[in-house]
Order: sequence, then C-alpha cells, then structure tokens
Amino acid sequence: MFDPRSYREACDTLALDTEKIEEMILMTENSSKKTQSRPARVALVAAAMAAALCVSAAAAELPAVKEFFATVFVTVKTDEGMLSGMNIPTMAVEEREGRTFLLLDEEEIDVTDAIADGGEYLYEGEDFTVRVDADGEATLTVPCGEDGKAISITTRPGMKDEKATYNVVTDSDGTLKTGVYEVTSSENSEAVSIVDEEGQVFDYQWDGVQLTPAE
Amino acid sequence: MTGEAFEQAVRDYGNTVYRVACHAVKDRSEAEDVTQTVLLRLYQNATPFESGEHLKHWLLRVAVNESRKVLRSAWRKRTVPLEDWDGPAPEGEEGGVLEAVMALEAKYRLPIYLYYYEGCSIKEAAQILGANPSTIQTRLQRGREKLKYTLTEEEEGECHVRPQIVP
Repeated sequence: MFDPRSYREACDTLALDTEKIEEMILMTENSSKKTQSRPARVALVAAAMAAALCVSAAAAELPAVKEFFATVFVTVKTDEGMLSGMNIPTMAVEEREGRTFLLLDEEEIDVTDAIADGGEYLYEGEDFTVRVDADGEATLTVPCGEDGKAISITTRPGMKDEKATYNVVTDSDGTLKTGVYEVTSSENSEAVSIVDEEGQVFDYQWDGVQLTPAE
Repeated sequence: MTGEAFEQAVRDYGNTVYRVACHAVKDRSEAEDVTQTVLLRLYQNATPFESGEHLKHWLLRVAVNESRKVLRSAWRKRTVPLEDWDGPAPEGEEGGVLEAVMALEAKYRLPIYLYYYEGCSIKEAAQILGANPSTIQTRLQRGREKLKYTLTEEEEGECHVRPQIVP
C-alpha cells in the first residue's frame, strides 16, 4: 500500500548539501552581475530569438483531431558562437467523447468547461501562453517587447500526415515568408536572416519589437 | 529582490525546488541545474511577493516549467535514455515508496509530490501544473492505483511461494 508518511520521510532525504546551497547562492549572484554587464548586442539577439519564437498554431480545418507537432528548432548565432537553441512544445487539441482536450507535452488538460464558460481556455506558462478558442484552435504565443507587440510565427499544419508550413507574420505587415527554420544574426546584429527549409535566405531588420523586410 | 531576502528564500525553499526538479527530470545533476536556473530567475525577479506562500507557489510553478524545458530540449531527447531513478533513497519501506513513485510517469509523479509532500490542494496543484483540477484528481487516483499495485506486488514478492501441482 502507498503510505504517504513513508513517502514524505523518503522525500526529506532528497536535499541539497548546505555547501551546495551556499555555492548556488554565490553562483547566482555572480552570474546575475555578469548578465547586467553583457553588451547590448547579445540582449538584442536574445530578443530577436524570443520574437522568433512567437508561435501560434492553428488547424486549417475542424477535424475531430487537430494536431501539429511543432518541432521547429530556432537557433541564433552570434560572433561568440551559438547563443541558444530552443524547441517549441508539442501541442495538440483533441476531441473525445464530446470533450475537448489540450495536449501540451506530457500534460492533458480538459478545456471543455473553460471554453463553454468563457469562450476560450488560456494556459499561462511561465514564458508562454496557449489559447484554445471555441473552434478548438490552439495558439501558442511567446510575448516579446515591453509593450507587448510581437511578431508571430503562425503554424498551419494541415492534417496529421501533411507537411506543416510555418509563416512569419508581423503585427501589421502580413505574411513575410513561409518556412522558417533558422534565425541568424548578422554582424551588425540589427539584421536577422531567416533561412527557410530550402536554404533560401531572407533578410529583415529587427527594431527590438518586430521584423520588417530589409531594404 | 534584495541579496538578504534572496539568501533567506534559497535557504527556506532551495530544497523544495530541488525536490520538484528531481520528481520532474529524475536526474540529480539536471535537477541541480534546474534549481540553479530557478534561483537565478528569483534573483532577477522584480515583482514583490505578498507572502511566503506566494513565494513558494511561484517557485513551485517556475520549477515545474523549467523542468519541462529540460525535458523537451532536443539535446535531452537525443541523448538521455529513460532510466530508473538513481538518486539516494533511504533503506526500508521509505526507500521502496520513493522508488515506486519515481518509477511512475511524470504526469503522475508531480501531482503526487505536490499533493502528498507539499500539502497542496488539488486546485493549487492544478494551478502549479497548469492543468484542470479534474485532470489532477484523475491522475492522483490513477497514480495511487499504480502505486498500490506496484507496492503490493513487491510485498508479496518477498515471501513468494511457488504453488505446487498436487497429483
């Protein structure tokens, strides 16, 4: 039988050494100071990467199972090397027995009641949100920019076995380019090159809020 | 957050973050990395906390999310095999229970940890995990059933006697 008391006692043994905790405090304070003194260029590139991860996903149709497997791996290169790489969580909306479920990585969330009550379901992660609307469309968004403006990458995956396409969209300018897989900073770091899956490069200017086509 | 408040928070809740990460990623080294990341976010956090409970809740949520980032990293998917928990476990009944919990899928481990160790209500656990309370309730129930099966099987296995066919 599962004995909660035994489990709690066992969990007590999962602890960091006092020395480790002191080390972490020291490392955190030091690494935080380093972050503040980093050049603005790196911050700019990081912002560009965050913007590139503004992702919304929507199914074109309204099938019983709408899903996409967003495995776009966004990489930003700087003079100092690869800044970071992130991949987008796997997300799907599924309808079963009259209920709607949001599948987010390992989580399965029944969103039926929330949609019925408020017209939509909002999942607030620490660094992203997922919105499921009354049509069962799910939108994953990573906010960027202090004023909340953002470019977004819209994923229209089609059906399960069809090839997914990815559209970069600004707030105002409409679609820029389909098929975004890589974002690379240029030397002056104010330009961002987006490379599609065929290797074709498209240059944009990054003003800290949104991308616009380079002149 | 001031340096003094930060240090106090780390001493109060550092192990809480570490335990959540252990339950999520099942790897001590990665759990330490997650803890470090969460602490960095705490240090850089400018929003004041209303209470100790508010701070703890925030830390639990960030720990869960940072652990998920580790779990879904492409590098980890390529390189980290699904292994059994190899962390320290006390001998005897307590160790068996912890190992049994760690052997469960992540979707069961975290609700069980939050509910039984941290004392979260189902609603609180649901908020931390970003899930519907009914989902958490179902997972707790299924997790308990799986634990009951595993632990009962272990107990029976210790004094297992092969039945004999009597002619």
